[in-house]
Amino acid sequence: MKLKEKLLKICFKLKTMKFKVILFSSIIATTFASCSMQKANTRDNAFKYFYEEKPTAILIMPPINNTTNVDAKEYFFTVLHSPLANAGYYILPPLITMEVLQSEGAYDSEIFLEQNLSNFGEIFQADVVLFPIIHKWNKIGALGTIHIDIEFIFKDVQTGDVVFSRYGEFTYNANKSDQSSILATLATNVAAATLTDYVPVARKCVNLLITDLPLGKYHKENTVDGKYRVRLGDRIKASL
Amino acid sequence: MYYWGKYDDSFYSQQKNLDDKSTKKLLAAYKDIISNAEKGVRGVPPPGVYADYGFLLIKTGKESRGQLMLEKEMNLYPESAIFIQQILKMMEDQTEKEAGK
Repeated sequence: MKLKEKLLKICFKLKTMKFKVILFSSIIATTFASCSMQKANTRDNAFKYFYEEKPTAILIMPPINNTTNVDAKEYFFTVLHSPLANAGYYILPPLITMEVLQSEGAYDSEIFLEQNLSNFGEIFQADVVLFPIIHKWNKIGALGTIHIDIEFIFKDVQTGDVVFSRYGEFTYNANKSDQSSILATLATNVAAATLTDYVPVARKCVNLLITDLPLGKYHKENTVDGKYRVRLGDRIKASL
Repeated sequence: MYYWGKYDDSFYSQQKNLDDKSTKKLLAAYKDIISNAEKGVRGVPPPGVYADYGFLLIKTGKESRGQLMLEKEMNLYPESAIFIQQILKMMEDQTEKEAGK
């Protein structure tokens, strides 16, 4: 009888503990849930500048290339124009702006990253300047995996304030669809070494980096997108 | 939103090679974008296309057609007007300077 009572007591204690654990877990889960509820943000809350100042024109600076891949600058510069125009902004004509920047000795964007940008407003009539910074372009091994780190910094020309920024860490596997034979893959890589076109890869990076960017005046959802939920943080990781 | 045709690839090729062949390819890409603009949701060429096309035409000796394209950019995108006018003035000055030599 005593043994049975003891067992019952132990069972009761265990049940109570289990209940407490479940209760505690629920509290934690609720806390996290409410935290993420608080974090759930809309574009007009997260990027107030765009809804208050309504910028129209964006100047895209030549990318700052901190890598040893000399082509990375062109990969990114040539794919920036279309996604930003598709987001509803007037994008300063890239060929002309490049020519003007070069003639003014302003081709190296890093010089202007921390400078007063009001001249850009006067010369180009831009509201916002985009500084793309390529931090990493590392090809790992012979299997064609590439690690790309790229950051976008959008600055208001008048105040110099950062109005939108995102840092992306991307991994691209050139042979994702063909892993049947390492030898075949290596052979393919040797053949493709000079032919690989990374323009589509750069395009994918850009599309992720500008996700959540408020829409400009030429986009038909320009007046309603403020209530869209912000989907990505200011630092993202993705496999392409 | 806009019809882009082969813009990205042609622009990349021109920036990478900076030769006549890639410039011709880019000019053809601009022409295609302008001719097929109605395929896009807005039904007009994207921002910057008339301007860069006009700029390249002027640089390849087709001044009057190039100027017409730059004017089209200003009409379609009024926020470009001050900048484009500066470019036109700059190119006029350059032409006068070269003619005076």
